[in-house]
Amino acid sequence: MERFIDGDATAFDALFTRHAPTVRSYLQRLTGSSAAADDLTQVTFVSVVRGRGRFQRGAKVKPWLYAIATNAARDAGRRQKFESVTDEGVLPEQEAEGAPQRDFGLEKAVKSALAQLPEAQREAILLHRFEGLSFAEIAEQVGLTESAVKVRAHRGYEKLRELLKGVWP
Amino acid sequence: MTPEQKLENAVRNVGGASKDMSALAAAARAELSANPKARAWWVDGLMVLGLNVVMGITAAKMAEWNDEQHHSAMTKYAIGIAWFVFMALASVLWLKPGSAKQRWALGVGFIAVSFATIGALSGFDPGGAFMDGVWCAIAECKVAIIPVALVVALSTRFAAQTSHLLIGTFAAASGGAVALHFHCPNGTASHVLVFHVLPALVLAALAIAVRAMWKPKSFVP
Repeated sequence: MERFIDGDATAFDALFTRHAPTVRSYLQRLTGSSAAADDLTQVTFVSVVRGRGRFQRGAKVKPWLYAIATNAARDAGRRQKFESVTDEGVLPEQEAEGAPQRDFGLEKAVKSALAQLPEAQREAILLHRFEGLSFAEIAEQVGLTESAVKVRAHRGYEKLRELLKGVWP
Repeated sequence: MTPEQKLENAVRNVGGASKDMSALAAAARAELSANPKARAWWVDGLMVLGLNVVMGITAAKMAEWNDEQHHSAMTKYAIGIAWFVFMALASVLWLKPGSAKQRWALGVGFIAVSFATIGALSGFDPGGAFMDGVWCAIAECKVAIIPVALVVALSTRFAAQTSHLLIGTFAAASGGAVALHFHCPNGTASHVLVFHVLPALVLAALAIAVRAMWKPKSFVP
């Protein structure tokens, strides 16, 4: 990260290779759209380059990247609504070509349930449970207290359970 | 596979993957080659500080000095210095990345200096029309408007929160507050509160509203 801040292009490539796939996956879960995830991944890494002077040397890179991705998704969400799952729950082509053990019915239900969660609760659940960020790290990046983030996540889990009744363990 | 693992997998699979990750890096690589040198956040802060100092000193030099507002010469200068200290800290630190706690502390600082100003007033009422008060508010806004515009413009370089704009605008308004502190002859609390402090809050609300309409150049916190 230090070398990248100083303008080293190879350091940027290493950063991108390491983090871009997970950031993109997070954005797809957050927006429910593959095309939006691609666009927002580009926007996220352009932001990383433009705003690298604001990175606090010695801080963790991953929470910072997810904060940028979340901010970009929020901004895009305010300006335009993402494509949503149809009533028939058609998934993008690339997902339908997956391994046979995948439960597409469940994935459709999960995607639809995630889309129905309020934005703040969806972010808290995805960042904590699926991206492995601590509540403290999320709180630091979104400018809230740790307990406020926990409350958001708790409410989100409750709603998700309700939406996925019969599926949620 | 347990139901929990099934659900975890389902959520992970909703993430998917891009067909060409490398293509997603192209715009960032072009940006990096165009701007290989990173701009430190405090450089912008020093720019705001410089402008605030210039505007504050220019305004202070242009108007006639009055002592009627103050309880004593000591409180007059002590509070003038407090406004300068607040201006110096807030002009730079409103941009500092990281926790919002420091910005809220600066907000408390602004309130404290405002209350100290009111607490040290002489109570002298020169009379005059309501419009005399309005002129004070207009003067403060005139001194602050360019620095506030700079604060809003700089805030588009990152994902600015309300607290960033609030403190940035208070810093910009403090130049005008210093000028009014030394030049306004009115020593009543209602006048200072309505025509010296309130304009800073109005400017902050305007800055937040304008910034909300502006698309940011970067989403870094």
